[in-house]
Amino acid sequence: MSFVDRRYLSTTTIVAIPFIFAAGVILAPQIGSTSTNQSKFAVLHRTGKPAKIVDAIEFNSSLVYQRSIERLNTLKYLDDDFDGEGAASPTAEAIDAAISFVKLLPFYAPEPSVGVDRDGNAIVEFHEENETGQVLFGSGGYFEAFYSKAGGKTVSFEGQLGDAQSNSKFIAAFGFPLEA
Amino acid sequence: MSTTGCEHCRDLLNGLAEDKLQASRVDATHPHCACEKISVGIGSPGPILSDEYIYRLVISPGDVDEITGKLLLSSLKDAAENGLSVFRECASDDDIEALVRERLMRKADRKPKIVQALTRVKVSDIHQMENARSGRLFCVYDETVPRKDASLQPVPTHGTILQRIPPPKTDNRKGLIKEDQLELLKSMQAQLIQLEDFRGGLIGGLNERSINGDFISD
Repeated sequence: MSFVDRRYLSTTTIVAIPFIFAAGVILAPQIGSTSTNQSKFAVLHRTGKPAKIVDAIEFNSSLVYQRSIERLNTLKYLDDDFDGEGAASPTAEAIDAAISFVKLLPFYAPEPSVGVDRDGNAIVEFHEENETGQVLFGSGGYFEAFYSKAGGKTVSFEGQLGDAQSNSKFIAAFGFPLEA
Repeated sequence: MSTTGCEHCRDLLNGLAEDKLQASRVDATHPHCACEKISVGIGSPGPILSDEYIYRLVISPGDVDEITGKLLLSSLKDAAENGLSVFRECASDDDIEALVRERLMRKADRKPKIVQALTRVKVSDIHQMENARSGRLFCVYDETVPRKDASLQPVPTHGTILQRIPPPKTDNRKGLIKEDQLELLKSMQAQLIQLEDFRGGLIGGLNERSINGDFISD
């Protein structure tokens, strides 16, 4: 029960993978320390590929989602009432957490859609044909996660970023870690 | 429904947008969308019927990701609180312009707002969204809302989608609410409308005016 069970690869990712891979091989020796142990484990566990190359691919997945990161950076500067119905401006803390999360997404994660809600939270969602995931980033490290698969049980929980138990739940549902 | 019941529906569906408990309040006293049968809006042409189309304006840039083209699930959050504003197919261009203008109004020192997207959904599709746990998932009312300029009459062709939410303390309540919203999201995502094609560019024109400095409030 997770996005990566089907080894999702979007068209963008498929096109980008050879370039990412090439860049990864070149950059691998320099960036071995950019990922946490937890994400290394997740990737190694799923791919069985050598650590340096895997780390490099993972590191460079942020390039694939650069436009999402830029979009989040733009949303950071929304005025109050940006929806015409009294929305609160997004908090910088929430946006920064979402940006960090997108930057650290492994290459096999689905393409993220990003936004903000009317209560100042940043949102990262994953939409596939039969699966949907949502991560809401609030202030003070607060997050909410939601995962649903057609015909399966819906998972929803909240917690604090960095909490090991929350991360385990997240990996079980989404198939990749909650790093931000 | 009795006269008292009708009055009670009108009291509950009075367009007060800040009532975040509206969805649960309406369902607690008039479950299974009972208030749909009567007209609750001021000047409304009547209850919203199942063969009608309703339209949802997306103003928040945070509700639709222009990179992926996806409408976000979080954009439907209000359905479980104070309701999602919609307008009816029978709305006149003047009605639509009035609704859009109000949403695009801003103070002079703020950035212009535009309509980001427009989506439509057939009311019968919403009526058919149901599950074994709660029956119907959403109700559609002809609720009207007060104008920002209180001297103006409400737009009569406004409507509201309210979600039927599980009672407090239900296990995985937040997850169930979002799961139900997914049904509506899929329907809306499938029917995103090109703004330039809608009513001869009515909304596109209003967007242009907003960008050019119109819709400034005092």
